[in-house]
Amino acid sequence: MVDPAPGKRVSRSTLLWVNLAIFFYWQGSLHHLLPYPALRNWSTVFLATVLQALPFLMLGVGLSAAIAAFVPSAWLARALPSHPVVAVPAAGLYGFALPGCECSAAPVAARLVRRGVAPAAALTFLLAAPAVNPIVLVATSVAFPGHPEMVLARFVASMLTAVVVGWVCAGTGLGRWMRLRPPGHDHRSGVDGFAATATEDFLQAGGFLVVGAALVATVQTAVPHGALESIGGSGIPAALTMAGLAVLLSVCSEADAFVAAGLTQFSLAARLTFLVVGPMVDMKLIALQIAAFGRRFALRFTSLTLTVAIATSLAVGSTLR
Amino acid sequence: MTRHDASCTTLVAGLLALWMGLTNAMLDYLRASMRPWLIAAAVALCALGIYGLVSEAIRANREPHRHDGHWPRMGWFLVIPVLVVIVTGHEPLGSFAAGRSGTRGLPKYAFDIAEYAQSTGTTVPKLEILDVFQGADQPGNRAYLLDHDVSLLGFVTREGPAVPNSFVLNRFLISCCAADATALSLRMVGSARVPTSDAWVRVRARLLPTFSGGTPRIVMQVKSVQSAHAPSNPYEGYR
Repeated sequence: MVDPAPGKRVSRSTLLWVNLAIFFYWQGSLHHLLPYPALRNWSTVFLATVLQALPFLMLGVGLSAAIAAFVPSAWLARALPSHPVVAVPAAGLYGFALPGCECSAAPVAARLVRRGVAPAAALTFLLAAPAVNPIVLVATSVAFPGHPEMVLARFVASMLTAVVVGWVCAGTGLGRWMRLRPPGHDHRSGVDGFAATATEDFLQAGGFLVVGAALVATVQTAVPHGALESIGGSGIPAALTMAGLAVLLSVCSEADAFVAAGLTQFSLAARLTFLVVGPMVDMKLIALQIAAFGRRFALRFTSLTLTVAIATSLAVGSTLR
Repeated sequence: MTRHDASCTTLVAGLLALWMGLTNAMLDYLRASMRPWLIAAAVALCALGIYGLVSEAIRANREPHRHDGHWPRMGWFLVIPVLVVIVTGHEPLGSFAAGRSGTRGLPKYAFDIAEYAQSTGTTVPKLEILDVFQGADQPGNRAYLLDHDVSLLGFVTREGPAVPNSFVLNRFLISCCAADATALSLRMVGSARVPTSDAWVRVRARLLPTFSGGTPRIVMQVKSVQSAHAPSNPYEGYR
């Protein structure tokens, strides 16, 4: 819509933000009107999830905008082999280089697809990056001091899941369900294009992040995970419980090893499932994937990833004791 | 969303994060080492917002009726965190979460309480609740804790079976943010004064040789209880 008289009219957002700024001065003063500990717990978990993700999201948004504005398409075409059977594992190895949690990966993967990278390769990168990067692997080794094999198992199972999902996507053409946002502002290059793309990516991903964080906070407040964690055990039921816990808790991939290490009532194989599923499928991440690829694709992709991740973890986990 | 809305929303998200990062508000949500990253992200957002507003103003001057494309409507959801802060202020996890957290094992770490107490030169060393939590199961530290009083800071809950003159002292342990918190809880018995739930107290107490058999499993004998200010960082981290 074209503004009838730009500059002559106070815009909706100016009005909204000026009001909020005034209320911000008295922030917390409504606190006492809110005597429900559950609601206050919700707000803490919600804000923690948003704030924790923000730096990583900005890293992803910045990288994505830089790829859009400064990287010529020819470079991207040369960076990966053209045949998907080879391109998929190669993309998985690139994941080793992105130092961040899962929140960075979704905007970057969406940008790669828009710049002509094969969807299967971009998706493998999306799944592999948060689980196999050095920071996460070091955190895992610190959290499991007596079990160096957990680091290797996490790397192998995550990489295997990412590659298998990538191949399935290539074979079945799952990428056709993707709905990428129309190229709005990324035709501009240089600093102007960078700023416009970064703002657009941030608003899209940030909006969905808020929705995802609200869900995480609701589940963490409503479901006493102490009850879930007390189930414990080993074998397939334990692995499924841990997969469910990973999706519901939505712990960031840098922190999940510490949570898993503490759940000693579960077998190592079940805890491996938690570490493999967590960075690939959780509520916050599903929201970010919907932001990047649309709902129809994200739901299919998430179900596929969850199935493959549980199967791979059980297979790799059977070698642990 | 118009270009103007997009720039304003980005700027305000940046300002909220910047306020969190520059005050101690962030410590209610994140571990302290996240601070520089949060500030960097906040500065980047503010810069994007300001760049958008300025370039929009310049362009509006040059070509007043230019169509500026569509901006993601999802961006409006970024109002919610600002509203939440306005309504609740910033606040750490409290007794609600402490009562619902599962009991998790913790990675073992080497910390000699006796040596630490000697280095500080006090007879009643100030310890983290994590130290007692770990130390109660380590032979050397356990011997120290059974023989000496220690000083602990935490908030109070009244969960569990009603034992007269008893309360639970808690701190949360986080590795990244409050969403991955685990409660560290100690049962305090034999206290003349039982503080109200969620109050911060400094307790002087000594470990009792028997475990409770329930949760919290570690039991301590209270020597004195004093009201205390909430610490700027309400959470404990891994040493």
